[in-house]
Amino acid sequence: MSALQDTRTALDALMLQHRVEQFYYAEAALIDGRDFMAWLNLFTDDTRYLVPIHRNTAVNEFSDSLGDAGLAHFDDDKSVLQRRVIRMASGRAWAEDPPSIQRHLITNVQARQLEGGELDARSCFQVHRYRLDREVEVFTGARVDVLRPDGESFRIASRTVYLDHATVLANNLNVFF
Amino acid sequence: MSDMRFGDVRSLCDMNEGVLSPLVFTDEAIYQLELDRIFGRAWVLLCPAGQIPAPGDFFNTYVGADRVIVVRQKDGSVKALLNQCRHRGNELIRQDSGNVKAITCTYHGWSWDTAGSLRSVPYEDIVFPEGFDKSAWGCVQMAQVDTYKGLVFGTWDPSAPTLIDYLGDAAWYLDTPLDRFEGGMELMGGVNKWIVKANWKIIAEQFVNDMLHPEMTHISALIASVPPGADMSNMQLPVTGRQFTSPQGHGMGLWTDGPILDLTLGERVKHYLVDDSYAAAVARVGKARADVQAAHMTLFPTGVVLFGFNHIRVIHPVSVDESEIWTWQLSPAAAPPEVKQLWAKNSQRAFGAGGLFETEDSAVWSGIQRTMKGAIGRRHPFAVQMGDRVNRGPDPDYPGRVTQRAYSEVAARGFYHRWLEMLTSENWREMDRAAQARYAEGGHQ
Repeated sequence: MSALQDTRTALDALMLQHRVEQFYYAEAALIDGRDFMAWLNLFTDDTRYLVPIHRNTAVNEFSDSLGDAGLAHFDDDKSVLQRRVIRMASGRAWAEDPPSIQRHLITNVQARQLEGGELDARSCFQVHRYRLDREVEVFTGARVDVLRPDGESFRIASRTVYLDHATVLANNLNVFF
Repeated sequence: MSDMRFGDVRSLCDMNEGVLSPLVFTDEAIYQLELDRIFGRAWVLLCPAGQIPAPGDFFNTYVGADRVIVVRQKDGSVKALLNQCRHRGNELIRQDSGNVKAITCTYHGWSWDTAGSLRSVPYEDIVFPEGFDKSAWGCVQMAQVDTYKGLVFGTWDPSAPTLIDYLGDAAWYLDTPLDRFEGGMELMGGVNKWIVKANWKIIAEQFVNDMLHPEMTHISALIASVPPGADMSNMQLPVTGRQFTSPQGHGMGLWTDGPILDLTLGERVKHYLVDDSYAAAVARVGKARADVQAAHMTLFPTGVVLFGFNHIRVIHPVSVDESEIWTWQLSPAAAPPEVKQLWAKNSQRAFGAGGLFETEDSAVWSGIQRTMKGAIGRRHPFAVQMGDRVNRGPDPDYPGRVTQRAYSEVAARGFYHRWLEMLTSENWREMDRAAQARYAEGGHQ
């Protein structure tokens, strides 16, 4: 009986891991396929999308390095995310015309149940962006999400993106992470 | 052109005719001359004072291509030290910001106090048996550092005019964002940095001069910012305003009407700016300045202030064809907390590295730089000719040289006039004489 329970628990964990990974792969495909409206729909209406700014600190201040309170690359609610999507979809966002080619590689996925049914889901990413003839930029970082179950899938109730750059080594952050 | 002579530079920049050679954006010798003659002499914006509030607080920045440590002293004043060990040249501080009691080199352990005086040399008795004069080896430091209404500036040149003289009439305009609110301005968080593959002047020139580009360049951000379902057909960017230029090369354009703040800052913040705080602002800085809703300004060479948005930036010329942009947000210290937060967030949503407006600007700037890689793209001059070329006389409301509308290139010509004077003059007296001569001739227009 106990062995059966252990097996069931292990299978549940495997299934959860599989579902979260599949969710992230599908999300990455939406961004890379430039289906930004569908991507936006993955977020709950009360979502918060935060990309703090990293700072090069002394070693003993490192825990303080992930973001200066009060200033962030992105600190958006759904309506602001929607504006960013509308801009991209306007056909007149010249920085993305011709569109850059983006590839979101998602890895190091970890998920655990929170009380109340939501998930704490963590992942790492590498985004490769190619634009015009020879502009290549690589963004790496980590994401900490709260995923809210939605039928067989999830919606993103909050996302914090930790970019691995203090100075953004790119012309712009015209990228969704 | 490895041996750029001043005569050559003069032939590349004729602001009386309004023609500018692309070479000023691509030539390595000109860039090296700029580092020496402009960034080695001008008052350069270092950071908001709020970046270093307490004694020992430091901020690691650039002046030109040099790394500089801006550090708050025990008496509250500020010093700016070259981030270079006087012994064998190692970087002294590698962190972006923080607090120090002493500055100790990680190579051989020479250690300076925050005022830049060399305090200790390890094994001094052994390695200098004949004695060593530590007082001769203080940190190289900026000759003058001063603060104007919460912005810290510095110059390497002891013979440079005072900061207030260097700012000239621009100081009156600067009070619009910096001194409009009782209680002053507060720094919101830290600094946002990114790189743009463009010469620094391409970026500085836009903020000194260009109110015209938003309708074309930023159409996608404008579309995204209007309320859903709004009728765009009657939307027009404001035309009521002024452009300001000055002998020191500072310049700006300002708007006194229009929808730009509603679209970018939102109703709550705009309400605070143009309604809640208006009467107090009129009493404090007068109607002409209280009426300014939005403005762009470059303080020659690389300090940028966006009025209305409370956005501060410095453009660092890290190489001839690449710049770093560093931005900060200020909010009125006395405003309600939610207004302060929203102000900073909405401004960064427009003008941060991922800003709805900014991303198109950086694409244009790097696009300009790309067109100048070839010999032909560097051969033909650009037109800098918009706007009134005739001096219309003093403005009743706004000091200095101003046009009667915000769309012009008078301020760009003023910027490049000063750029050339600073590159080719041996000293400040020569620079001032040149500026006086062109103003007397009306050539500033």
